[in-house]
Amino acid sequence: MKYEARRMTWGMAVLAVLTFGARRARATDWPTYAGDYARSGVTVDPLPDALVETWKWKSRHPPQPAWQGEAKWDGWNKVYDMKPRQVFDRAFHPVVAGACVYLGSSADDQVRCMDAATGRELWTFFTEGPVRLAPSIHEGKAYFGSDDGFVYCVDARSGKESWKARVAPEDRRIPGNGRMISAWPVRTSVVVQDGVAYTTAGMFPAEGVHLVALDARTGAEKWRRVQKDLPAQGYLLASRTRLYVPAGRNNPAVCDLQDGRRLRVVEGAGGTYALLSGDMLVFGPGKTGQLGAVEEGSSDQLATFHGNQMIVTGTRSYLHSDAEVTALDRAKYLELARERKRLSAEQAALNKKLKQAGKKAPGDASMEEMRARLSEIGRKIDEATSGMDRCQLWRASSGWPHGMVLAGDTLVMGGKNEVAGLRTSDGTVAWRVTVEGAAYGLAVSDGALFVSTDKGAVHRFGAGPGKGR
Amino acid sequence: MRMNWMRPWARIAIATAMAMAWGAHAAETGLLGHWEFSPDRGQNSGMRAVSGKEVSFSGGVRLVKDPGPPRAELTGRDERIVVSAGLDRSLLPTREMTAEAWVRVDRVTDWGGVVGAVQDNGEFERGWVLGFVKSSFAFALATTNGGRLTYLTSPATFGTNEWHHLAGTYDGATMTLYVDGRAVAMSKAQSGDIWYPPTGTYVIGAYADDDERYGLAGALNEVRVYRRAMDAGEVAAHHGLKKGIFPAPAPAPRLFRPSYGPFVDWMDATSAVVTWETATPQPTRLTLELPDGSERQLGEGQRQTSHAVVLSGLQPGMEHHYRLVAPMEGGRPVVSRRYPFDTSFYYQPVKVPLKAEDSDGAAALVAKVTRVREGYAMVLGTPDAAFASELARWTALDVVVVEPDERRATSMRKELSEAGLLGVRVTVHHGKGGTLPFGDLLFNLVVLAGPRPPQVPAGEIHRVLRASGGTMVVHGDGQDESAYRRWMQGTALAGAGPLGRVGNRIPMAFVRGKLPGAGEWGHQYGGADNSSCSQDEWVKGDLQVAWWGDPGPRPMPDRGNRNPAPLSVNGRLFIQGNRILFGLDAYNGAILWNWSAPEMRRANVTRDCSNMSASGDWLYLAHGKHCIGVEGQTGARSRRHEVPRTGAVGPREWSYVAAGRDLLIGSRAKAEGMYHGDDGEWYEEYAADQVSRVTSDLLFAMDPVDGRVLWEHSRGAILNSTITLGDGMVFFIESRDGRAMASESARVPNELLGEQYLVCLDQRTGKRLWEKAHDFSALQFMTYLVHARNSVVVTGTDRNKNFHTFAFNAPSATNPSNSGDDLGTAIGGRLLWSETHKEDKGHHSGHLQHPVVIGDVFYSDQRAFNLATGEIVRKDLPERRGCGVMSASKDAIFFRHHFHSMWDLKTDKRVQFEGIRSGCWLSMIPAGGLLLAPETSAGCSCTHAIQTSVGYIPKGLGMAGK
Repeated sequence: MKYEARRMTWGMAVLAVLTFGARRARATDWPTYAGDYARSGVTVDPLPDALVETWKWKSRHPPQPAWQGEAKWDGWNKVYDMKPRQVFDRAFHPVVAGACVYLGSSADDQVRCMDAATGRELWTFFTEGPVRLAPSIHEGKAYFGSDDGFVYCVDARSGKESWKARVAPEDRRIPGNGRMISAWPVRTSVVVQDGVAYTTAGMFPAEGVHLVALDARTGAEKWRRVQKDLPAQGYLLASRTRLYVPAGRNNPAVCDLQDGRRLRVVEGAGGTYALLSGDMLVFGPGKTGQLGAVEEGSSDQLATFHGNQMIVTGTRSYLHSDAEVTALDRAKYLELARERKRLSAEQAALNKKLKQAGKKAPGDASMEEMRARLSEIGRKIDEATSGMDRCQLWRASSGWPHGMVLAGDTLVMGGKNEVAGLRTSDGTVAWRVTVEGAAYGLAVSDGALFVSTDKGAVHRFGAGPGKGR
Repeated sequence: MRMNWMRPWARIAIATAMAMAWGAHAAETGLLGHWEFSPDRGQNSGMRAVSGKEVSFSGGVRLVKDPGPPRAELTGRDERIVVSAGLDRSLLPTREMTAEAWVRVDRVTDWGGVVGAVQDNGEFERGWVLGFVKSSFAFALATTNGGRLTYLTSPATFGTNEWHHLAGTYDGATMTLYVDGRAVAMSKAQSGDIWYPPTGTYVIGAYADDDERYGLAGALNEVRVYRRAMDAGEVAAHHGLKKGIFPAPAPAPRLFRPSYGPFVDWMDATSAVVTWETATPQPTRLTLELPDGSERQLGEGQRQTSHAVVLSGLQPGMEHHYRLVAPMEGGRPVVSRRYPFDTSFYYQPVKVPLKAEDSDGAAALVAKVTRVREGYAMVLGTPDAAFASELARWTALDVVVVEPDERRATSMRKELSEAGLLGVRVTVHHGKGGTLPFGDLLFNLVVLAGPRPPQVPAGEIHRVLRASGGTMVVHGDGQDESAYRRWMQGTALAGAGPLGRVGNRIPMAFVRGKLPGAGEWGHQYGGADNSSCSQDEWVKGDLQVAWWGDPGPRPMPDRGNRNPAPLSVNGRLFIQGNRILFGLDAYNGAILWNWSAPEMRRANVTRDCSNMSASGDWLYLAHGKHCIGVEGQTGARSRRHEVPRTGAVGPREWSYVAAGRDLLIGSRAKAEGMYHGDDGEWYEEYAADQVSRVTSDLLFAMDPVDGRVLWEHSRGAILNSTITLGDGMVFFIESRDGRAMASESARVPNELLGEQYLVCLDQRTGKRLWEKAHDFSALQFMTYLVHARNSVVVTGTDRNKNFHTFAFNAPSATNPSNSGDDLGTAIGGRLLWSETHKEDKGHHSGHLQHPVVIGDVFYSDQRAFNLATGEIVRKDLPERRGCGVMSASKDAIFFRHHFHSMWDLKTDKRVQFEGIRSGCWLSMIPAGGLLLAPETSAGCSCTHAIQTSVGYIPKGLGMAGK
């Protein structure tokens, strides 16, 4: 059983790597946020059964997130405990490549490279504004953007600047989120794929939000698109043909990777969390902690899940809410969701037809037939809904609401002052480790777990004594 | 077997048998779920069930045992007890059902849920819920045959803080609601299977569907759900079995009200000081509740009138609560309301400890001499990072160093990084050439520290210098003063002169003045004339973002409560959050100060007035019985005046406030009459609890410095929403209806506000200049009054949303020759014109629009009228959402459409600043040359991409003025 689970996880992770870019130089690297450009949070790299802290680094100042959070409540709709929809810079998210750890800092405007084994600082690179999102490491270069409106490419080993490019349309600096920054800060990370670096600059649609493709080798601009309706905030995602641009509190835009042409804006309740599962985009958390799944070619949602984050493998989805983790039979769930969506569409069309028929000929016999069909559809929708409920394979209480990644057959969960490993077989706790602060940043590489927190701490956990690699 | 046909002994026997079965619930027929709330059953983030599925908690559900009965305590804020987030049908009754609970409701809400699985969204009504509707218990259910929900409600209302037994049953044909063992409502409207929604939550302790979430404020002892309908006897038996364990309703604690305060002032990110006063010496204390639920008792408990308690060791970024506790009275505790205090709202820059050498360092001396300590500073020509570091340590300034040499810039960054200053306090910009990349008018301080002038032209320095006090200083070692003079020549900076002594030198300095033609927004509707126009000559045309940032939505009140508008005078911006007050630099958004005042709240200004007004360097805040003079730059509460007591019986509060340079106009209202909007009210329906007017029983003028009362007026119930100042006069509408004047509350229903008079007083003397009896009874939703150009205009809507507008002449008191009347006949109150029309906007709150007056045009609803004649001059006002109201500069109108929007009157261009929406009242103000739009969309469930405070600036404004 354990073998089965691991085999599935490996298979899916390999598939994810092949499918979603995020070219990992080595299978054990974690070269960008969430491991790849699908932001899958999955690695084939298993963690040891017992973890010990091998080093800890702490920033002089904690992360300085751009946004504080949502309102305390929606007074009209009586919605309390609204979810912050812009959670992308609450920790210095670590990425790991070539035995080095890289961090951007929203507190002191620099990117650091540290020896992954020891935590020793190897180099640091200064920008002129907060670096809110993790660098992407690609073919020996580190790519990152800054609130100063520039994108930087530096040598990953030495930290020497290869090029920098202003992606802001002009160099105008104003106070933004308490710092003197570009009016067009870079707040979506940099995706590098097939020799092209994709990024954005801009906050205020009225002033133009720029989606830009640069030559990854030289920084020369290849194309530029200007959005006038959505900002760009949150980690970019990419497939072979699509670029997904999170839009802060709003819904992500889907663009053509070739030329940045806007294909659509998906429907949902907004948020900067997103992942790609095959050709399906899952994002949220909306105002109440709800993830929506949208299929390629579609704008509307196929299914919604109560949760903040999700991990997807070939057959399963792991869903993470404030208080629990659940494992779902993914294929069956999606099949039922598609069926429910089809039924709902039919229901809506029939309702419309019935309304029109009622206006034209109130006593028409066909109306009874339509009502009967509606009743049947209602029952089928309920059946599909019940079936979806039964897709739950297991559920476990969780006190770790801030982060989730999958390493081998262990779900790694980030909580406040604690990170836990849960067995994917049944959700039971395999291990717990203590950290300083809320663990928003998780990365797994070479059998080591890197955790970054809202206190500015970065911890490395590896094998215990006698179990070293 | 119906128990009500049985003899009493038989009932007792059955009840006893059931009592014996009490511990064997799982065996009970049809029992789907049984939850007894007790700490004994608590587990990680939830609770084990007696029978059925365990529940999970969200929010701060507290399981309490002692003193009994065991229960879950809920505040009504964010708690939910979830049985199934996915409406698991196996847990729910399908054909017949009983939902039963022992519940205590502490606060009545529009809708309340005890247990249910429901969706009630417009036409879409499914599921069932046991709970309450306002003060009546309720049971609602929808079936496949019945369609929409049928609500049963108890005819009698329940009392808060009392335990009750509730049961709702449905047997496939009949719904019955039981309260305390007795059937109180019944219906046969539903039959067939229970019809559940496709999605929803099976939840206890909340009324929760996709549209609404009303948390239960109270407690739950037990909830049971059966797949069968109990009969009346069984319900009565269940009630009888347990009723003895619940205490009789206890008298609520006496509410402690400090005579002044409380206020919470920051000391640093994790400590603050709470101050309050009592009318008589008392040993009051403070109980602090930490986010983890633990409590600390604080305070000396000495008999005194002024009390101060330091809160230390607070948890950063978390909401805390505290109560003030006074000595027992008559055996009853006397405690204040439970006040929230959130450490997320600490916005001051990272503090860096001073070094010994800082005391006489050059940067420290510059800061002392210029007195610029907050906001943004730019330093040019400094040889190393030392000056910037010292400036950062000595002040709260965010310092930007401009360094043309790249290597030196890198070196400075390293130095600053090691000192812990880079980023959080100091930024080094590598820049050379003739321009600076920084926006216009944003630096509070520019220090030119090089021996020779920078490469940047002097005009560039002037461009980035903030208006209304931005200071440039030339100060450094070995400076060539004549070179600096030549550099400044021909620019606005040429006026630089000596400014105090810095060490042994007197540096050249330039202080930028107020922008000529810039307007101010010192009152709710712009000026005290209520014209909603600042007369600002700059804010129009091509605007761009000048700054953005905090406060964001978290400290703000809900968007729809019709909250007090922000104010801006003298380069500062004042924002009233949800019981928290902010002072910002209007030109760069730097938060100068903020403090918490949990008793400060005003909502529904549509029927009342704002509680603040600003003039010069002062903000005046009506707070309880006081008006507090707050220093605009520091937030210090340095002046305090008490509302006059003349003729008052009973408690009174300071109600209206209008600040002028040497005069404070105030009004007095009976205490507790103001609206607070704490339940998310939008006040847009015609209902007594929404449209009743807040009235004052005294109008007065006061010296703002010493609090001397200069005159008083008291003749009727003055409608606060109509108090208007203009041209040396005070205007208002007062009701002389004896019922209104005798009302116990300041909040008076329309029906009691008869005999209305439009009154005009001399602002200096309080002497009545004229008055006019007029029938304003058509103004049912609201009554507004505006003064402009020798006329006053009264407007409002009736309950059918027809606007009614009346314009009266109001000859000038200060310059009668301009009044259009001969001096001898300059009597006001003559009706000039009137107009009635059905509201043009159908969108919500369109009927509550406040008018705008620009020059001789009166804009109301979607129309523009000639102010003098009432002639409609245009009807093509921009399309906009109904719930925001317009504001104006001299040449543009600002309003809420989907986003922040502007109508440029010169060009007729209408633009939206996509991505940000304003609030549901007045929240975009043109002042100081900027359009200032504090975040006011808080709580909006929409996906507007950005929720932030923002300032917009016309392009090129930095070059204006001196």
